Amino acid sequence: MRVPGTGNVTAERSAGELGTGEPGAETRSPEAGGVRTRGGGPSGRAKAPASSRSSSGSAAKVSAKSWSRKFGLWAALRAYGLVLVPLALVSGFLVWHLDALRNAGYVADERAEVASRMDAERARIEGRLTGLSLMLRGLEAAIEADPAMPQQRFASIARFLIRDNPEIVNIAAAPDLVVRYVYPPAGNAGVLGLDYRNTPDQFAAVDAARRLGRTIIAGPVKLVQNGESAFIVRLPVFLNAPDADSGGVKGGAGRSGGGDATRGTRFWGILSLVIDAQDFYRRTGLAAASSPESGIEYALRGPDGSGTGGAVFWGPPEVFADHPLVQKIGLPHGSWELAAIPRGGWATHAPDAMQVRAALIALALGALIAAAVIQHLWRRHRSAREHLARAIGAIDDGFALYDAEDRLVMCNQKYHEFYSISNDLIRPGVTFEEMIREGVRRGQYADAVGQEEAWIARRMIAHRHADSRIEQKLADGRWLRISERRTDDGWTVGFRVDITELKRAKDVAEEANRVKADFLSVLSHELRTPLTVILGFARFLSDRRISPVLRRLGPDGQTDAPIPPQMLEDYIAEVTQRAAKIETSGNHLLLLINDLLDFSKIEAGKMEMERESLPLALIVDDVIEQFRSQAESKGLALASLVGGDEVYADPVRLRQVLINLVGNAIKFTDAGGITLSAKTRDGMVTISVVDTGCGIPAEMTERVFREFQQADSSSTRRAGGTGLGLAIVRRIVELHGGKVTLCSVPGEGSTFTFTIPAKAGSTAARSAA
Amino acid sequence: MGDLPKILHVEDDPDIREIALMALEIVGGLEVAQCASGAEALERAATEAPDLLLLDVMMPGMSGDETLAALRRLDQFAETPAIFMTAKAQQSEVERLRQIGARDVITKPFDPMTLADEILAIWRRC
Repeated sequence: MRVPGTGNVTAERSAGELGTGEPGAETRSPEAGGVRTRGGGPSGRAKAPASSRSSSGSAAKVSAKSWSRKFGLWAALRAYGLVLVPLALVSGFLVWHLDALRNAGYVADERAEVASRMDAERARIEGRLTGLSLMLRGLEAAIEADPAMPQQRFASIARFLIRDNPEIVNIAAAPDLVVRYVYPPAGNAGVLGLDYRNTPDQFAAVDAARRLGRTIIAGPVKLVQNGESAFIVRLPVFLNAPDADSGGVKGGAGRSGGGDATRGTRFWGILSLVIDAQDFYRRTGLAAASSPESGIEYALRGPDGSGTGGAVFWGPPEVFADHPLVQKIGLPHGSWELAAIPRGGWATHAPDAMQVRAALIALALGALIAAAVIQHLWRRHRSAREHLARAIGAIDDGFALYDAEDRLVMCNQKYHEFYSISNDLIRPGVTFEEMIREGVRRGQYADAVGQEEAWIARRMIAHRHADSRIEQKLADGRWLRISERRTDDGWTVGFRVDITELKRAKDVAEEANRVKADFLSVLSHELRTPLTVILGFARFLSDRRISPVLRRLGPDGQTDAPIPPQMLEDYIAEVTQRAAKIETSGNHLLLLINDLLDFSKIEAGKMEMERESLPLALIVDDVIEQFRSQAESKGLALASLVGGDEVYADPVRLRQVLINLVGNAIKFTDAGGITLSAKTRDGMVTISVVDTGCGIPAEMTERVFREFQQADSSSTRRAGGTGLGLAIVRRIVELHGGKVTLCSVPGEGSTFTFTIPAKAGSTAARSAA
Repeated sequence: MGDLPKILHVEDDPDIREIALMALEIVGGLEVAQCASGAEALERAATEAPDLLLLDVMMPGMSGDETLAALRRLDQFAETPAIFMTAKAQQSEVERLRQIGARDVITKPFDPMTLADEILAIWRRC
């Protein structure tokens, strides 16, 4: 059908697929119970003849098996690979991409977390340094108010400042760069009198502070007092009053910026704050923040405010080597750099990455397996559909399937062939009624002609009933038997079986039955009519009471008186006349019975020809003589033009043929005559019986020679007969090796012609024997 | 229908006509008019005014069926009982003749000594 994927076209393509290793097809040979496809094909090739199952045959089989296996693998790859390989690649990419995204997110989150905590640390450090610087500023303010403050006052202020800041080791003041004040004195008395100018390792920083006019944080350095690591915050103090002895050093570039801009111009000296580095780290929380529990490692670099270029002075130096987050800690002069990394280094992936990867891979594999299963099921489904379509296409009957809305779903090629006139209409989606209406309009259905609407109505009722078997005649003369059934879901399945031959056979059988019934009916008439005469007259002869002559003697036909001689003569005449009628009817009956017996003998193949050479005229003249009086009684001329032709025939049967033909001719001729003639040619004698009778219609000329058939077997036929006479003629002539034909013109007459071998030894005669 | 019926007998075979005539008139004492064909029966029916039609079936020219149909078209024979005599003795033929209006069917050969009684029995059933 033309439905995509069905029908013969599909079947052919699919057969090719089977041949190229369709799964499940190439290994199923017919011997293994596989389905044999139409027209040979691959399954046919797979079938090895039994005779070839020798050792070489086994090798061939092994080889074939190996090929089949390869073939099957290739087919499987081709069948599934096209879908599954791209799907696997996409799944793999997705797994990789999702994993990468997730890990990148995790790393970004980690950096953000570290950055956030680092911000806090930086802020605390900067805040602490600022606080310490401000302490010095407070002391500076006190010195500006009282440049020559006594030791007790300095100690009082310094004590106040140190009280809440335990990381401060000491606070010192060095007017004119010589340390005069220090607090606490304990442990620091050694620095009193220290002249920075004589202490080169400190002078550079002190001098820088003085020159810049800014606070400078130095360190970490080792303390002279206890060797501990410490930062030293130095603040140059300038007073407002001019001081020619200040060394001429005035606030330079540093004085013009920052918080020192409002300060005086006379250098007073240096204030210093020594901070225990370890305490500073603890106080700022940096030590705790960098503990193993915190998960982050910090490091500081840039001693003396040297920033990026400085060495690492706190924390593991490796922190700066491991792509740390770095933040600048601003100092009054210069900067430090704070670096941070997660303890153990930066993560390259999330801690549960392996589990997630495994889960993703499992999901992808699951998806692939599901896809493979779905594809496999789909292919099986498609294969089943194709097998079904091929099977339906191979059905030798028309098949059609209509849905619940009576629209064509599918049909096979045979269905198209049956309805060739409306072939183009037969396509899925068209309703049954649309198809038959158009088919009727185009003259597809012979039995719808002249009663179109009524026919359509009847057809639709039968179709909707869908439990019917109807017969349908098509325009091309074919007959279909239509069976339609409804499925559980309301669809309609229809079969169209070509019963043309069956119909013809049935017609022939019915015709044969009719002919036989006619024959029996005619035979009954032909036998019973003379029997009626025979039995009727015989009854009268046996009962004198009903003799018209004898009844003159009395009602019972009897008398005690002697019968008058005239009456006796009349009675004898009456009896003689009735006996003659009985004889005539008896002879007629005998002829009929002989015909029946002859025909029965011919049918059984028991009629034997006893042939001899004899002059045809001998038999013809005899037959003419036999019918002369009958012909004369009808006023017909009966003549023979037969000359010296000699035949090789059974004289009894040849005579029977001529009696039948001449008898028939006389029976059906009312005026004119009957002429017999003969002609010998090519070893055969052609004998003709020509009459001027009523003739026979052309369509009957073949039929009259058939058994049990007559040109007219109706109730009004003009002549009797069983219908066996001409059949017997034909059989006898054929047994002689000849043929009989009839040429007739209704109203003008008939010519029966038959051939008989000319003489013994002729070719025709031998072949007939 | 107590009186003996007058019979119109149509039969093409002269011998059977003769036998039937003797059987009905001499043996049965019935009044019988005979015709050799359907056409003759149509001509004479009106003047003969029969009470019963006795028809052969197979006759040249006009069959027994056609003769009966033609007589039925005449008002006076629309209801006249008809009996067929036929040598076609099959049951199907008898049924067919009954269906076209025969009161009964007598098959040939018949017994001339009982034919009249048989016909009278049929007549009395009518």
